[in-house]
Amino acid sequence: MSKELEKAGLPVALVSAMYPVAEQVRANRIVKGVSIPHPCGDPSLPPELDARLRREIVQTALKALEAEVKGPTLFTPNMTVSG
Amino acid sequence: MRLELADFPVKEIRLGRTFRYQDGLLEVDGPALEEMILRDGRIAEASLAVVRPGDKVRITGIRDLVEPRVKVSGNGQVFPGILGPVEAVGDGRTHRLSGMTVVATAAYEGTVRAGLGVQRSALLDMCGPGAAASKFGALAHLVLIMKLRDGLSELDAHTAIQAAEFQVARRAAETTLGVEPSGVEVYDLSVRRPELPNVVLIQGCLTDDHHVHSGVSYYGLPIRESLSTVVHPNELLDCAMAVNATRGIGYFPITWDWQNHPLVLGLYRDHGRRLNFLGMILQRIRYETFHGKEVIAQNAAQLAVTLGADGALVTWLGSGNAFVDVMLTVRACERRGIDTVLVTYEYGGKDGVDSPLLFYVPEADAVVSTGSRDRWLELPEIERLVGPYERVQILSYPGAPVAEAKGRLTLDARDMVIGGVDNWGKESWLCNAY
Amino acid sequence: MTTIVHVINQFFAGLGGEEKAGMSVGVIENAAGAARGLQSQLGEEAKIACTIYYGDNYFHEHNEDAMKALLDAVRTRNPQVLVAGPAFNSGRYGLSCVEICNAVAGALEIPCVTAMHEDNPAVGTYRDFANPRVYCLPTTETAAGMTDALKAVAKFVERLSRGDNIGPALQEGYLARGIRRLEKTDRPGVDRAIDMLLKKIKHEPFVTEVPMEAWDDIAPAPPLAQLKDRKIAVVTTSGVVPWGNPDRFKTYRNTHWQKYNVAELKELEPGKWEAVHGGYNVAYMNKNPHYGVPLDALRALEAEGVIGPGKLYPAYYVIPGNQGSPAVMRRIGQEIAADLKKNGVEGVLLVAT
Repeated sequence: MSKELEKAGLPVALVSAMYPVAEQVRANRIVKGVSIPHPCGDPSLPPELDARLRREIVQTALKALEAEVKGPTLFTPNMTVSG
Repeated sequence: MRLELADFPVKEIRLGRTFRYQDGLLEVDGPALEEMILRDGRIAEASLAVVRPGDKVRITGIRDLVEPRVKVSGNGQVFPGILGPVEAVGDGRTHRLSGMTVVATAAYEGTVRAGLGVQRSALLDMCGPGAAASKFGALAHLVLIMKLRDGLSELDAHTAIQAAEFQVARRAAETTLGVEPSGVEVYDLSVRRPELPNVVLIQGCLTDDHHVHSGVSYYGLPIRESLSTVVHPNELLDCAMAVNATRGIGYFPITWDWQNHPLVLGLYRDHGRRLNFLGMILQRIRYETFHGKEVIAQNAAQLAVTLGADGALVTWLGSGNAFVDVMLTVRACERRGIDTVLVTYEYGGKDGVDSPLLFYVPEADAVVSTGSRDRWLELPEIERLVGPYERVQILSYPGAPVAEAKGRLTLDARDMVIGGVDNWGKESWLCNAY
Repeated sequence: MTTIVHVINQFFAGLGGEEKAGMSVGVIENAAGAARGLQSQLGEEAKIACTIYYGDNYFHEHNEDAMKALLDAVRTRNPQVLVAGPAFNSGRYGLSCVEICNAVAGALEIPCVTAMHEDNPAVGTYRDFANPRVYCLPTTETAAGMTDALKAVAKFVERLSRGDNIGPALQEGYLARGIRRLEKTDRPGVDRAIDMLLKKIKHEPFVTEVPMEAWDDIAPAPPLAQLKDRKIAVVTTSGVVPWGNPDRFKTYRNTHWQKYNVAELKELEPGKWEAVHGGYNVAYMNKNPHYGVPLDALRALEAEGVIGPGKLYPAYYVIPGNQGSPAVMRRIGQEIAADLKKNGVEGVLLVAT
């Protein structure tokens, strides 16, 4: 699906925990998600840290949209958000 | 460990007033079995029915199928950890009633709305295209029809259904005590020939950690997020593996499949002749992070190396991202010098033009296809229903519409039929490229 | 007597080389140029009614006109089978052969045969078309293999005109089209698996039943400049929908998508949304739908000016992705892309489970 969006000229930041699968299907801007059932966050963190992690993931995705890429590229959010 | 499996083939099942096995006829005391099942207060209603191949019947509400077995000598008893204490099994002599199954059907609503722990039930036609599509269309069945008490949790429903079907199965098998079997097979891996290649079976299985009743159990203990382990194949023959009894669906092997594991039986048949069968690595897959998947793949490969494997048959069960774990396992084995053959079903969609698999690694250069799981299947109108449901939800999602179970049904995948997907290569299905 | 039409390019029709590649579609009675080789292989079994030629460049530069002319010409001859090529390793020629066969097979419902080297890039298009009436036979890389190629084509044409059932690609010697059919074979999977493993261990040759695939690269869409001036939308396959599943999504194999308005919302309140998806544990998503639709984070970034005011598209798009067939997901992707563009969206945050 992300490839069809990209074929139409829309840059796509794909957030997925299964980033090797995303790389294999040749998605171009891949953002490493936390885990399959909760890609944008971590329920084992206290709520404020979970929200901060989510923000970090979303910001990484936005940065990916602004980035020039030549092929499948992995963007890794900074997962250590405490402190 | 030396197990003798004594075969008592069943050609006909009769509901009567006594328990008896003679010359291929199994007679069971219906009222006695019903009374036994209803001792569990979680089961509100219970009845029995018999179906045979060719009957113009559709069975609904199918949750599990199990082959009647009982141990007559050796340590422990069948269904260890479930019907009785946890005792090591796989030795001595076990009787089996071949040619038939006990089918557990139950009306149960469930409390989980979506995701992996949700209850599902399957269908089985005994005639027509539905029977041809299932490995169970050609067997005789003793069908338990149950209605569970309202408001049961999935864990309660699972334990109630499973206990009922296993008790009936064992009671039926007990009719063979003192009777001469039609044949005895010996299962013994202790002697190896050093000039033959060593082969291990790597069996991926999954459990949804978040739901205790889910997935596959070993001696009654659901296999949770854990590292791979080694299981002796005789334990499978003595019914040490069981599954979630609230969830009957074609692409998920059921208890009968574990008792009659085709890859185990095939490797056993060739043991000492063309290969040395080292045993089975049970590998819990479907890790939820890529890191977890890589570790479990490496772990299974390491176990195979430790056992001295030259080659491995790799197979799995489940759907979706669990397949990534499987492919990484193939890759890990190949990188450690273990030749692998992957046995798997394919996808491909309605017309077979979609990608057959979900994920690929170049190292998986030897794959055996057991056919597609998602070609459509048209089932005709049927004369008679057996089971708890008159109407069925063909698709399980919150708010799904119901269809008349007797009517024509268009199934958007073969996995709605129990036995409709050949998970482990028992049958001769495959997909040919055109 | 079977009627055949043979379609070839201007070079193989003997009308000139690269300098004539702009020629439009023309018809020569009976077999001409390379078609004569095919006629001699066919002998008395079939007659090439005419040879239709075109310039490779003309075909690709005036595709609509060329196709129409070709279809009209073929239609008037009413053949039982169409042959195009062989194209050997010429990508341009190979592609036109595949496109012509696909169009004629669709319009006239007759079988079409082409031929080219298996590494010809047009083979990918042939596979994508997955047309059960179109067959491509493998050839050598260059026209040095013309005689063998035409011999194979002639044999295949004869079988098709007899109405023979054509079996699997590996048995019949044509290139697979990416159509896989569920069938029974002579031995159970377990036996085939053990045999294959023993062959592999002994370094003996074997044939895999499911070849590994590779996906095509897609040229990356250009990056967004000045992000805060760009309109962004969220698309998710997590299956997060308003509680009650008003649009009846299944937990797997969905074929439609929806968008849900979140314009007034600063966040997704648990209990008002649920995850309809059969392939992962939805408990976390149900407790906190932001794991699939990170609205809280997006609103915070909007408040800070990272995302411009009004630049977050007021709805999110969803299809529960479980067991979604790639063909369906492609169509869904096209439909969502069209809707996004219609609404001026310039970049997408796609959250997958």
